[in-house]
Amino acid sequence: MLIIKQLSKSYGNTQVLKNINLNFEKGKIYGIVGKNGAGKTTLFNCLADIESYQGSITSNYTMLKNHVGLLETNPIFLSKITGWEYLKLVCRAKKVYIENFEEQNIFDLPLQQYAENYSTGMKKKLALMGILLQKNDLFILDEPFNGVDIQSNILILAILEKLKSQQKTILISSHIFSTLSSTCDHIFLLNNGVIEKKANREDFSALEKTLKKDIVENTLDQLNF
Amino acid sequence: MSYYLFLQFTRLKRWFKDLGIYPVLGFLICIIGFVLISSLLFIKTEWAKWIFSLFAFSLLIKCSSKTHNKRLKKLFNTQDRRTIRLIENIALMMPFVVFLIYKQHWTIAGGLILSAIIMAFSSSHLTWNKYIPTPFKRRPFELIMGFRQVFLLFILLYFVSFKAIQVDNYNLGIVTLAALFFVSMSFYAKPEPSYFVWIYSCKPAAFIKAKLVDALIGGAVIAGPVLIAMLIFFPANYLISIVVFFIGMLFLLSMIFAKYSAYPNPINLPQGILYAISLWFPPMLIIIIPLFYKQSKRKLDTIL
Repeated sequence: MLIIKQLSKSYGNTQVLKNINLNFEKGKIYGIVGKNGAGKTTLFNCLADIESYQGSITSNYTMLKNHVGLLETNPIFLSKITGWEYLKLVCRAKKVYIENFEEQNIFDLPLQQYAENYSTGMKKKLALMGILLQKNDLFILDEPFNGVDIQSNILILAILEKLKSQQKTILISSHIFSTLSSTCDHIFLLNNGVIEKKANREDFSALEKTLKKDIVENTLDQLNF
Repeated sequence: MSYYLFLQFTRLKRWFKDLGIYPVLGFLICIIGFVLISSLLFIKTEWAKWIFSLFAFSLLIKCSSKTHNKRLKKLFNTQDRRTIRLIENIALMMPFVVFLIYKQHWTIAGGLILSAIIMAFSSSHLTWNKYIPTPFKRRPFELIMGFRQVFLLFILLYFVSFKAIQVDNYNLGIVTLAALFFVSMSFYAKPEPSYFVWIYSCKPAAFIKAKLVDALIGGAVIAGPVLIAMLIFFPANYLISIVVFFIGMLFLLSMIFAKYSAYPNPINLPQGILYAISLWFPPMLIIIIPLFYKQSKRKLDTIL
C-alpha cells in the first residue's frame, strides 16, 4: 500500500503539483493521463524520491526508493557500455547477482553491442528488462509503449499482467488511451498539477470521451490549416 | 557557419563558468597547465615526442567521431562542413604543433598538421564501435567505459614500460606506472547521470565503499603487471616502485571522493585546487580524503 497525502511540488514560483492525494494498492495497475507538462513525470520523480516535495508519501517499506523500478521516458545509457553490462550494473546496484541475461533476453536484444547505439525502442526494452530483473515491488513506467514495436508492445502488456498477478504495484503514464484502458484498474487525469478525475474501469469510456471532447472540440479549431 | 563556431566558443566559456572559473582565467590556466605538463614530459623521457604526438592524434580521432560528423552533416552542406572540421582540427592541434616546433621536432609537427587536414576532408568516420573486451565485465561501469575509451593509450603505456625494461631505464618505467594511475583517475573525473546513483539500494557510506573496492581492483589489474615487472627487473629500486604504486592507488581513491564531494556537479574550482595541491604534495591527502569523504556522504545522502 502506497499513500500520497497533500503532495505538492514547486520549481521556484511555478507550482507543478498541487495537493495530490492518491492511494495505490498491491496487485493493481494505475494509469496517469495528462497533457505534456501536466506534472506526470514530476509526480513519478517524487514517488521515486528523486525530487524533494511537500506533503507525505508513505508505504509498507522502510525505504520506498529501494523497492521502486523506474522506467524513464527516454532512458539514459552510458557510453561504451554493452547491454549485458548495463543489466549487470542495474542488478548489482540492487544487490541482485545474476549473469544469465542471455537466457532471459525476451526482447532479443543484442546484449553484446553498446547500448548507446541501440534504437529508441531497443533502449526502452533494455531499460525495462533492467528494472524487471531488479525484482522491484513498485513499477513506475513513464511512457513504456513509446517507440516500441507492436510485438514488444504485446509482450509488455503480458508482462504487466504477470506483475499484477505477482501482487506488484504498477503506475503507467501513456499518451495512448487504449493501452491504459486495456490494462489499468484505475486511471487518474492529471491537469495543471491537479488530479482532476479518478476513473474506475466502468468510467474509462466516459473519461476517454471527455478527453476527446476537450482536445478535438476545444483545441482543433484554434489552428487554421 | 561562423555562428556555429561562435556557439562552440560560447559553450567552452560556459563550461568554465560552470566550474566556477572566469573564462579568461580558465584559458590561462589551460595554457599554463599545458606548457608545464608538456615541459615535464619532455624533461622526464626521451619518448616524449611520441607520447605527446600520440595523445594529440587521439584527440583528433575523438574530434572525428561519427556522432560529431553526423551532427555537422545534418546542419551544413559539404563545403561548410569540411571548413568547420578543418578549423576545429587545426585549432585542436595548434598547441601541440607550436610546442613541437619550439622543441624543434619539425617533422612530427608537420605530420600532425597533415593529419588534421586529411581527417577534415575524409568522409569516413574514425570511430571504434566494435566490442572491446575488458577485464572488468562484472564491475560496470567506470572501469569498463574508461578502459574502452583509452585502450590505445594503455597499449602505448604498456609498450613504453616494456621498452623501459628493455633499455634498462628505471625512470621511464616509473613514469609509465604513474601515468597508468593518472589515466585511470580520469575515469572518475566526470559525474555520471544521477539515475546511476539513485538505482543503488544502500547508504552513501556503503555506496562509496563499493566504488572504492572496484577502483582498488581496477588499479591493481591495470598497474599491477607493470609494478610486478618493475620489481623483477629493477629489484634494487623495489621500495620506490611500491611507494609510487601505493600513492597512485591513494590518488585513484581520492578521485572518487573528489567526484562525489561535488556530485551531481563536476568537481569545482576549490576542490580542484585542493586536489592539485595534493598532487604536488601527497601528504595533503591525509587532510583531503576525510574532508572529501564527509562532503561526499552529504551530497549522496540527498540521492540515496
